[in-house]
Amino acid sequence: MSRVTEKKHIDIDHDCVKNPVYLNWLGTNSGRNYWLFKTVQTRGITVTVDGTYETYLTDIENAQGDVQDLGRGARPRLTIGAKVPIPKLLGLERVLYSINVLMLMNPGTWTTVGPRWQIVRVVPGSFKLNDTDEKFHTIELTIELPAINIQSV
Amino acid sequence: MIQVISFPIRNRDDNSALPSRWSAVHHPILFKLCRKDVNVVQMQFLNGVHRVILQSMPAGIAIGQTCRLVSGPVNADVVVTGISGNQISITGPSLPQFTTGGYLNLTQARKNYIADVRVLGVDNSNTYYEVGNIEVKPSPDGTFNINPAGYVKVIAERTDTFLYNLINKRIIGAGSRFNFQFRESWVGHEGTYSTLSNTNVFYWTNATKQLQQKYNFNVAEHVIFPTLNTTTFMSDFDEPTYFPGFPFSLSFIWSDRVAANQLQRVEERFNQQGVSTGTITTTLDGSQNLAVNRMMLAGTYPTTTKRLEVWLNDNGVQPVRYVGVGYVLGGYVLNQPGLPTIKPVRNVPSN
Repeated sequence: MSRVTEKKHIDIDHDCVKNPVYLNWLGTNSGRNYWLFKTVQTRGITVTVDGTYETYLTDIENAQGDVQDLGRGARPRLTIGAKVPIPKLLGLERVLYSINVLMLMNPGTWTTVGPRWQIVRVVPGSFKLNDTDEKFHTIELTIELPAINIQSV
Repeated sequence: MIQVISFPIRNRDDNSALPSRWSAVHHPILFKLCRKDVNVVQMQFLNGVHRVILQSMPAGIAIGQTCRLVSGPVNADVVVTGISGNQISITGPSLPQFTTGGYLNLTQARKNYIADVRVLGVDNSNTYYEVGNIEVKPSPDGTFNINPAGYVKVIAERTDTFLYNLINKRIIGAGSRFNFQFRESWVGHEGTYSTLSNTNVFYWTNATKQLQQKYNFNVAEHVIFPTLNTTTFMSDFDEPTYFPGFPFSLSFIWSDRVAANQLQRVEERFNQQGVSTGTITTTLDGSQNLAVNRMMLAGTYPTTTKRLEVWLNDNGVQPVRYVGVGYVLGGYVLNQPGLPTIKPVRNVPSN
């Protein structure tokens, strides 16, 4: 009986969790990795319009309006962040370029019904990571959630 | 025949006793093969004539034909001038007087020679199925390269299919085995595929390697060997964080080197002061071998446990039970003819 792998140190974070956002991403070595973003996030939404049309009004006394949208798009986004020691940052920053990032939708029930994940996409861009002599760093990223389905013409 | 002459094997720690057959599928996984129509025993120069002694005389060879001879320093087209028994006499450019070994390809007799390689991956029950077909025309000396990575990559799965309800699970789409069969065809002949090899099996993982990383396209650093304790889990973190109440897994390669071994997950728990509060060993499910595995932790810890050290133990090859529990009905007795039977004797009271 002998040890056949490294000894992997795993920290356990027992903190009470407020506003949990749990991400699960695919690493470039085919493993999966996890981080819990907590406390506060900033919600946002990106709204687009797929063109407009105007109706020709003959009865403007009773008309409701002149311009309507052909369709609209809405994609929610969430800005999340974490302040972490640099060794943790070196792992966490890989979520920024992972090809598959998932968000846990049922933190309360996954142990009984299985985890339900939604694919989220980290908004790309240039990120400033830590200065090399820092001990802690705050990483901030925005994830796009699945679009909202809206009625269209 | 076709022979595989080079495999995508890299030796862990440059030790030839520790070959890794696992490669990152997003890079080339190169095999070099060679068409060898007939083996050459030796080439001699006798009575002014170069003679090639073949292992056997192949069908279809005739005087005046051009063949390719690869033997010793010779790698050239030669013309057959005579055939006798297992020997042919040849003429060719700058032939040495004596060589041993090598092969002869009947490049003129076997027109439109095509090597056809059938690549197979495995499905979720670890059963082979065909993922693609590569048709190759070998180069003049008979050698050719194949790269099954592009075909096997279709099996790679980006998303997470693990249900986080088992201690460990084989994830075929994260890394599993592949194999290939080949056959040769030429005008007037369609060969049959070679049998699937049981020993020359190779493996791919849904991974990439980085510039100047060790082992090139091979993921040897993550392959478990029974004699090494430096193999790393596949994690982006040097020290991951586990958040109780949320799904977590560590990924590792249950390699061919420990396929028949019992692996165990060992967790040592530490409190706030860094003092060990105990070690718990749990056996992993051995039926999930020969693939990338996701492994869960024990999961519930007292709040005094702040840190874990987790590793895998190799508990050796486990003896296979010949007869499983429930194989025979209880009370079954095999009738052995010829053996003396002992009849129960009625108690006879003595007088």
